Amino acid sequence: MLSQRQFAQLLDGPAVDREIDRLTSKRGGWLDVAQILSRRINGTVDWEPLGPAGARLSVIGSRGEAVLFDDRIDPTRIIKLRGHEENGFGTAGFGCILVRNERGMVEYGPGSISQALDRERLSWELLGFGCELETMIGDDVGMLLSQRFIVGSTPTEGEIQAWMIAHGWEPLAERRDISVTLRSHAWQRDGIGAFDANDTNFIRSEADGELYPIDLIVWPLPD
Amino acid sequence: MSFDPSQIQLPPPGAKLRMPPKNLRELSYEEKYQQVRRHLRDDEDGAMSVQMKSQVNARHAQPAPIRTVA
Repeated sequence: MLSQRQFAQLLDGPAVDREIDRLTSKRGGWLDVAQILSRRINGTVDWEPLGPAGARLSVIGSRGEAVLFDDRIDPTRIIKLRGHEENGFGTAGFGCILVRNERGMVEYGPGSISQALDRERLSWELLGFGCELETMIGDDVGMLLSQRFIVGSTPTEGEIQAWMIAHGWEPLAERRDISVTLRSHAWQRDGIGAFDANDTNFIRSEADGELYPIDLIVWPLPD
Repeated sequence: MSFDPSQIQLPPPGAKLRMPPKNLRELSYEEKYQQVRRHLRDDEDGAMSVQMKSQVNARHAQPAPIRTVA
């Protein structure tokens, strides 16, 4: 486990500042993204000073549910920071899971630490690929996951659909109890959902030309 | 209660893995950064993932936190 101060010192502070400045300059909704990124990092480390330029973890992006870092010591992998709802991780929590809302519709809900890790287990078991648990931060204030970084390109929606079907998944596009915004990228196999199967969550490896799912939400379909 | 990560094994034992092969080349930090930005369509105006839009919308739906000065 890392303390919040130890984690802060692993972060390349100037790279965080550059990313926040870049997002801020885009204006519009990206200003919110910049603020969410700042809150995710500074909230997780409780405003401890970040490390110097060239420190081990350098931010390379902020996704819906994680902040992504390059690992300078092991460049073959990418590190994902997830954390508490109140630290900017909002409706994702430690990682989205599937829940049924008060209207009976399936939508995303914030997952706890153990739920997020169970989601990774399901990803490994059903997709053959996922994240490993790197370490926890502080008193369970944050979680670092690692995943093999795949050099490659973005596949098309059609290629993703063909891949899902070839691997035995059935589309849920016609299911009326799935939230409209999620339906078109939702699949199921034997009662387990694989959601968010869009082109930002797959990559075509340059090495073998195959598709790899890198961030699907794999979770049992709620009753 | 603290979570005990030593209880977790990922990948889970017995899972049929489908690991990507080793990359043909090692990207620099800047190259990785560019790949991730392209992949997330981060440079396209208005393009934002469903999850990130959801985060932004939820943020606007929440009242601003109140901080008190000691």
